[in-house]
Amino acid sequence: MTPAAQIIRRSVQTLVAALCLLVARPARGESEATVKAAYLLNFAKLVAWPASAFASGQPLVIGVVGREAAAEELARSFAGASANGRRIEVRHVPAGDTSALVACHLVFVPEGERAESVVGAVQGYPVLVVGEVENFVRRGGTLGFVKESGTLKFEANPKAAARNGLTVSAKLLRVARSVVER
Amino acid sequence: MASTLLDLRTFRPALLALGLLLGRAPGDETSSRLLTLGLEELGSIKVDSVFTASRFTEKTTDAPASVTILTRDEIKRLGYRNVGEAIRGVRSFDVTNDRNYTYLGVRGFNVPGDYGTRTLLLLDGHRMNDMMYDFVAIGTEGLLDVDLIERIEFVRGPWSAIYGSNAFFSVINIVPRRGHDIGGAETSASIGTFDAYTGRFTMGKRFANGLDFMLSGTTQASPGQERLYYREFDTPQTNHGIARNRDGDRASNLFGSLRWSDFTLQGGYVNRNKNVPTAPYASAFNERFSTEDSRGYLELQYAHKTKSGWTLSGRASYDSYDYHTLSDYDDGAGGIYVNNDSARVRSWSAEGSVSKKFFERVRLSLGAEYRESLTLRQRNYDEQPLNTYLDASGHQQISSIFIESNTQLGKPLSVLVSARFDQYGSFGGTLNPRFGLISHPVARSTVKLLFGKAFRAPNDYELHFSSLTQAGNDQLVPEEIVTTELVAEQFFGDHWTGTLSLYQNKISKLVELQSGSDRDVFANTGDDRVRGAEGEVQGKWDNGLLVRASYTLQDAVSETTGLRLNNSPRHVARTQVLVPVWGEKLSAGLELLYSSDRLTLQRQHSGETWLVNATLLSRELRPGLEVSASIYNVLDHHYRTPGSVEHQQDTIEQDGRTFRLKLTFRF
Repeated sequence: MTPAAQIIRRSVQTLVAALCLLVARPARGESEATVKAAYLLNFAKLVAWPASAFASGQPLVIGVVGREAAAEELARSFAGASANGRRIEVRHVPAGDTSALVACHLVFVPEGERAESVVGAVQGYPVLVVGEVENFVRRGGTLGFVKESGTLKFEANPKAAARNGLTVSAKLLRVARSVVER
Repeated sequence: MASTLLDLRTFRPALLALGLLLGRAPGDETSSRLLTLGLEELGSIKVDSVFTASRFTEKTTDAPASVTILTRDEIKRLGYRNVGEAIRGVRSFDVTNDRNYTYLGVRGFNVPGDYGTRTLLLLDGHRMNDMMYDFVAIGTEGLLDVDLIERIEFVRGPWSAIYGSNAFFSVINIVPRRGHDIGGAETSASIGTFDAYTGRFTMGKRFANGLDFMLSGTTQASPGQERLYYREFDTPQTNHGIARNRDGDRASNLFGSLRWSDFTLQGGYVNRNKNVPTAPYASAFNERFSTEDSRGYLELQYAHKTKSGWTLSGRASYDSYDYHTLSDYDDGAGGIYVNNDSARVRSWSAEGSVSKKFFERVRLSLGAEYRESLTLRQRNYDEQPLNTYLDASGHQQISSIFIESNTQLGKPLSVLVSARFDQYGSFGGTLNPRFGLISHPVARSTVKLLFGKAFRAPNDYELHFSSLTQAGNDQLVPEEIVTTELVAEQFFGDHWTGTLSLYQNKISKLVELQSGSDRDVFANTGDDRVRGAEGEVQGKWDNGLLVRASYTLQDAVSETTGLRLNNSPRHVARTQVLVPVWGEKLSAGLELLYSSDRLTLQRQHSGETWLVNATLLSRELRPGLEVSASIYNVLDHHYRTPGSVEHQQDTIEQDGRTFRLKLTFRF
């Protein structure tokens, strides 16, 4: 190979490598998504599901309602973490798909999605419903994120959990910004 | 040759890189560290969100504006001594000082003598521009100690559609710390160049029953520069241009808040005395010229969310502002006579709004505001022999209604429409709309198209002030601005954000002092145009490393004369680097501020400005102890900024290198 060809080849290699680097940079959500993911992990650890909810070796399935991008963002944020020794699996679930919803252990309802339909669909099944729509826990959700002076806090509704056969630990209720029973 | 290039082996290093990246756990150190945190710790992590742009708290990328948030952590690590220094580091903003007040300009507009009147300054949502001068106090005359700031929200663009007058170029909201954030008591002391000292004592706590209280007081003083030379006064009669011991600055402030359930009672007071060495307004050189400014307010806020999803909020407040200048004048016979210039402002205001989200897609908000002056008095007189030039009492009342809507159209697009109508007792009504289109065309990018109109009502000073050389004009109408802006924001990789903003500001009926036959008179004369492009990149890492760099190109001209505006640099660059040297224990902050040449009132060049500031901050060296050491203007660059109409000096020299050492103790 001529020296010129070698130079061209080296340049192309470098360029392609640089390009791949740029394209392949894993896209992590903004810190808010990660903070939410971290909360969800804590929730999963501090809520008790009935033993029947898990087949042996089954991962903890988190369903994200609505936008596919929201599910992807959350999945990325988990970065292979586990809760109570269970692997975490994030799925995107269409809001109207009841059978897909009840197949999850935890359903997350992002901003902009309807709370009531999801809450109604999973009522009576061992599914923890977490959301960030305003007044989520007053609309029958179990745990709802709220923003407070730039930080993310949550509210809890233990009665909603009980309706689905779940028990919310006292620690979770203690840290909750407010506890609603309805 | 071509086949060699396409040989798969050519791409081996590239594929290797790709494999490495895909194989690595995405999110990495940042998220995995967060994932190990407990609930309590998570609750204290800041998520970037903004309240000021629209009255709902929202993510900065969803805000219908170009927004910057400056946090308490950054303020500390960059060693800012007052709000003005913090603002000076932010893209789009310009801060100058004439040894009397600190002046704020935005996006190429900082006409000498403007008291920051074209920006609305909010303190936790409370309007700080007073009713007489619209003055924005950000120097030592500012009400809130910089140590009490939780964060500052900078929202660019015209916001009269929500906030009414003064929200012309931008809105700045200072969010104070709460008792909960202090959790006990804190005391702080500092010493610096020119014998500058400050002392602060703060206590705050949130009790188990939810009651949150905070109370803080600060006092600061500095005799300033012992000797200042002004060649404009270099004559034997005026001490050869040397102003000796005429630069003193003394201020005290008090701030407190009480929060319980849906109610917040908050208030503060500041009093500042400044000696002015520049002999403005043709006063006698190297004699007394001292200004005293006192600003206070008390506000009751209410915010409630009903079970059915309505948000109700209201506030009622009482504001005070007193200004007093004592100045010595040469009587022409070797003697001195004393002039008094003063203003007394008392006003009250009330505001209420409701908002609710409908069908999960449409957020609607409706509100009304009433503001009225109780006292608006200006006086100007000479003592002995008593000679009164001005004793005028004005009155202002403003009734306003506003509506705001945010509609999510499909997933990646939202439309924002807001409008506000203000009815003034003086000139009548003004309607100001604002439109915004926000879309997320591809993942992790945001494009905002913004359009809005805003106004600034003529203030009582412009309407009624009168002296031997200057006259108010009660026929003034509001000045107006129409702004078009395109903002693009993009996240790159895990740590980088890029912002690009293109804007045009068209200003009309600007209130300016016009030379008259015997006196200068305020008139609605100016038509100006500013076009600009701003670019910024920011890298932020979880260990505390932060890199921010911005560049602005701005072109500000008067459409009436075709000339470039005074005090408007064409190129502005800002860089801040925060490095964690030794974890939390030691952090280094470096700031570089550059502005190109500015034109002065006499159309001369004030020259460019290179400022480098450096701070070392040590936290938790011993439990509760925080030490910071700063050098400002490290290069000891002698720079000047343009003077104003009241100055004999065409440019005013600024401070060279200064130091500060500060200790804070928490217990």
